[in-house]
Amino acid sequence: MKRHELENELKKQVAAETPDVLDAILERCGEQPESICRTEDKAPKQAKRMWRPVLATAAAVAVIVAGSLGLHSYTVAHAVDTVVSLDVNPGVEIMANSAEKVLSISALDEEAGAALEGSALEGKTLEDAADEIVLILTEEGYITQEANSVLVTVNNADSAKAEDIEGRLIERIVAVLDSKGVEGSVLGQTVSGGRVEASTSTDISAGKAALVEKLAALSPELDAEELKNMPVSDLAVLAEVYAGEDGLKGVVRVGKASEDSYIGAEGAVNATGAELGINALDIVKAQTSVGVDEGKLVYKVDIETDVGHVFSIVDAVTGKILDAVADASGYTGNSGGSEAAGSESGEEYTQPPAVETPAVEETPYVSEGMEDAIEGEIKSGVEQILDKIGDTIKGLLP
Amino acid sequence: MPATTKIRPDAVNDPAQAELLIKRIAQGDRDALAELYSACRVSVYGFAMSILKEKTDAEDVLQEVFVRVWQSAPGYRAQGKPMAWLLTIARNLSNDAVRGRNRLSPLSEELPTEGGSERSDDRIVLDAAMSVLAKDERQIVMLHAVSGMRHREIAQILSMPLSTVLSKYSRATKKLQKEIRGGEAN
Repeated sequence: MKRHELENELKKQVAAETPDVLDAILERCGEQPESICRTEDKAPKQAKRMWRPVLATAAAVAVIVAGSLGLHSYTVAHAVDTVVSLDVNPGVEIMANSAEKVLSISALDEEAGAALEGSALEGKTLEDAADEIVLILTEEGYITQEANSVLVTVNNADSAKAEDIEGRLIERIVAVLDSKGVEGSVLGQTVSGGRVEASTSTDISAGKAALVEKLAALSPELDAEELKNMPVSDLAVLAEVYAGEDGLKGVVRVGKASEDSYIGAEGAVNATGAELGINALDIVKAQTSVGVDEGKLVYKVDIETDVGHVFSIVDAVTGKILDAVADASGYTGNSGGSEAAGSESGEEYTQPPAVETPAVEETPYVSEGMEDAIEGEIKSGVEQILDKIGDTIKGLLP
Repeated sequence: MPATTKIRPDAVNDPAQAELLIKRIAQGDRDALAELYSACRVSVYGFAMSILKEKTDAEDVLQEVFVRVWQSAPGYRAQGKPMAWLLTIARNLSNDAVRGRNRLSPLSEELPTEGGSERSDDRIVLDAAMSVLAKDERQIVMLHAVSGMRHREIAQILSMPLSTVLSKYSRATKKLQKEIRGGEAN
């Protein structure tokens, strides 16, 4: 069902369901009151802030962590003390004892299994094993300058030990990538307080699952089911976008996720303009933010011209326009840039930080009189242009 | 040619006409109230449904909105946005109803979804809107699709940046399309 069909159908269904209560209303309407009973337009109450559940979750985690610190940690030579997940797509898990000697390696997919076949890593230290795995994955082409992200997750009951191991492994991995000429982007996180055991999932490591959970908690725009199927490099980009959020405070980032695989914010604006016939010179302001749409990393593009507003979703890799919506008349108000977006009251939504793309040149081509005409919602030439954009959008979309 | 032009009830489409009706209502003209009701009842009911998700409550709000309009019309100051005024009354009453409902059963954060086993093809889009969309998304979709409001008008009514409204609208309609596709596949 196309968008306009959906709109028409919804309107039809609501109209069919709307009861007729006019008689009841008229029965209740007597003489007009002498004293004016003015209905105040109440300002919308501040929505429940998003950080409350996040803080509650953080507090719950903190309680669990604090509880775990009180427990005796015991070590047995063959007992798993630490699990390290290395996620590159493919993913690998390393099980080690309390002396940080590798007990076993688990490949989380066929590619990892094939890449690591024949490698004898048992008995090595965690750092040496991580070195070797990253080296193999780089040589096999799984880590490249374009896909340069590695996620390291250390699971140990002792949070201090987990962080210590995490720091050493990140340092070693960065050095290995550097030696292979790759400017790596390494994300590190620790998991403590839960059971230290190998991942039970066959398709996603516990480390990637933990990062997905953190990202999904940041915004309803980020769906856990979609995120878990995305490559680590995309998740690394999202982790950068949301870096300031409390929910990602425990995630260490070293290096920068490569942008070589993506079209970039400017490319997304250009792609939108090209598809919808918006002249670059007519753009007053363009903002982009990175997000996820149907399991793909996307740019959300918000273009303001003198006569209207266009929002589009652009595939970050291919530049394909996945969706576009145009405001139906000449918008001349404040679009609420990054500042407004950050302070919006919606409890179910957190807009990722927006990046403003400077307009090529501010060249308004609508006179004040024309703006008045638009404001008056008269079918002006400008509206026709917008209608054309609307038609173009509808023609493009499924 | 795609259907780009929305047909909207006159009083919704023409703020000046709606304000004239409100002026007549302020003078005690019950026919004007009936006329305004006739033009706007679907918009008001749809918007109330988007917040309440429950027919009976939405019906109560629909009734109450026009009683309030009758009572408050003498104090209405024409600003060229009568629909925004009407829908703000609807939103406030709907939010009051939600709060009242929460007081009665504080644990039921989730609003009920009507339809359930009674779902039919006649309500497929409406049911989908009620079941898969978040509250903000439902409001935006209802205001745009049912009331025919422009995105910037919705942004003002819901106190959201226009870009957020556009983004949420895009996401909401995609969710609906996906839900309906899934329903058809089953």
